[in-house]
Amino acid sequence: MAKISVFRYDPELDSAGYFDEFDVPYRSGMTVLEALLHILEHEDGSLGFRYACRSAVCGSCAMHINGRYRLACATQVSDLGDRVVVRPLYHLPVIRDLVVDMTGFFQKYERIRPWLLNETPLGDEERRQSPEERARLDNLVECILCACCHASCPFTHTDPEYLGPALLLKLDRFYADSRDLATADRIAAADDEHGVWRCHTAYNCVEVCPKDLNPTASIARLKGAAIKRRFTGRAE
Amino acid sequence: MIAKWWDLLVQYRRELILNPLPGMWSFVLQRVTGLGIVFYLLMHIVVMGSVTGGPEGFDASLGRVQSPVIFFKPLEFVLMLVLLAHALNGIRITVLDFRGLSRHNRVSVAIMAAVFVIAAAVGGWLFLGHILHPHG
Ligand code: SF4
Ligand code: SF4
Ligand code: FES
Repeated sequence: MAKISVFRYDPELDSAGYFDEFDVPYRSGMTVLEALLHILEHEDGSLGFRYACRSAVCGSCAMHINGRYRLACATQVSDLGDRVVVRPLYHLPVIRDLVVDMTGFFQKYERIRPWLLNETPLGDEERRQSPEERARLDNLVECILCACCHASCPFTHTDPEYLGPALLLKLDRFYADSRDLATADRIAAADDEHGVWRCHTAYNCVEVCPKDLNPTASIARLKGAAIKRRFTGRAE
Repeated sequence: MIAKWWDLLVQYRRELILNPLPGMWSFVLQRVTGLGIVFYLLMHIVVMGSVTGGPEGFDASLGRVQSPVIFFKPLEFVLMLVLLAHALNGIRITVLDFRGLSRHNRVSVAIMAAVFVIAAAVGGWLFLGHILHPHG
């Protein structure tokens, strides 16, 4: 048996959150997501949580599990010791149990215009990149927008407008793309009160990212570009 | 105002519980030592400002904060530790940011801790040694 404590909160019934304990029959290779599914099917059909792909690709099952934000589908119960404690992502409003409201996160996502900005007309060909230009996007394109990093960053709480590590990494992804021509706009978006200067280099985001990405490196790169632009007026 | 500061401290405590990570600790250390230094600088300006009251006024206020020496010296040592921690950590994160070393956060925290311990030991000997060996 695995002991699982799960955060519960139903805004229509509860004035505050609390933890429910469940005993789940353990089988080798069981993930936290499977344990939650077992609870849902056999113990309490009202438990709320999100998942879709079960293979660390969609980013829906991010939650706080035993001292760290991670993906429930990519976390083995056997790695967690005797007791598993599961909470929702912090810094995002809880809708119910482990389900948080991601609206604010995705509004900020739109604010950075996460698409290629390039007005030059397309001919018969796609926009080409050299292997070196493409290599600059390695890792940056792998973010699954799970918001583990966003929840772990202390500043997405103190400044709700702060873009946060995931979206600054995404901004860097377009800044670094040779096909994107809005370099000055990208740097201006980062060089903002709610942009890179809110980051205090705590590295929680790098530590928790389930894809092993490095938002702080992106933020550092954008900080460098912002400083250069202020001193030289050049956006590069 | 006080309530706001209190909320912030409660908030940091919660963040530390949820993210027991070296970078989080170093961030909280930076904030707390930063606030301590601001408080010290205010006192420092008040004491130094008493120079406008002539030599007697200055000596009197220096005498007030420096006695008894048995408290003053250890406090001076604590001030050195606070400044040292704040400065080392500030240099550390600036170097990580601008030298593209952000993958080496944990190692840099360990190096910083080692430098801190050595510098604190040397500082402790310089500041407190003559209290322990007044005639040495
Ligand atoms: S490094 Fe910056 S963005 Fe990442 S968690 Fe720390 S403060 Fe937030
Ligand atoms: S950077 Fe990593 S932790 Fe953050 S949203 Fe993307 S995949 Fe998730
Ligand atoms: S269910 Fe898709 S990432 Fe876990």
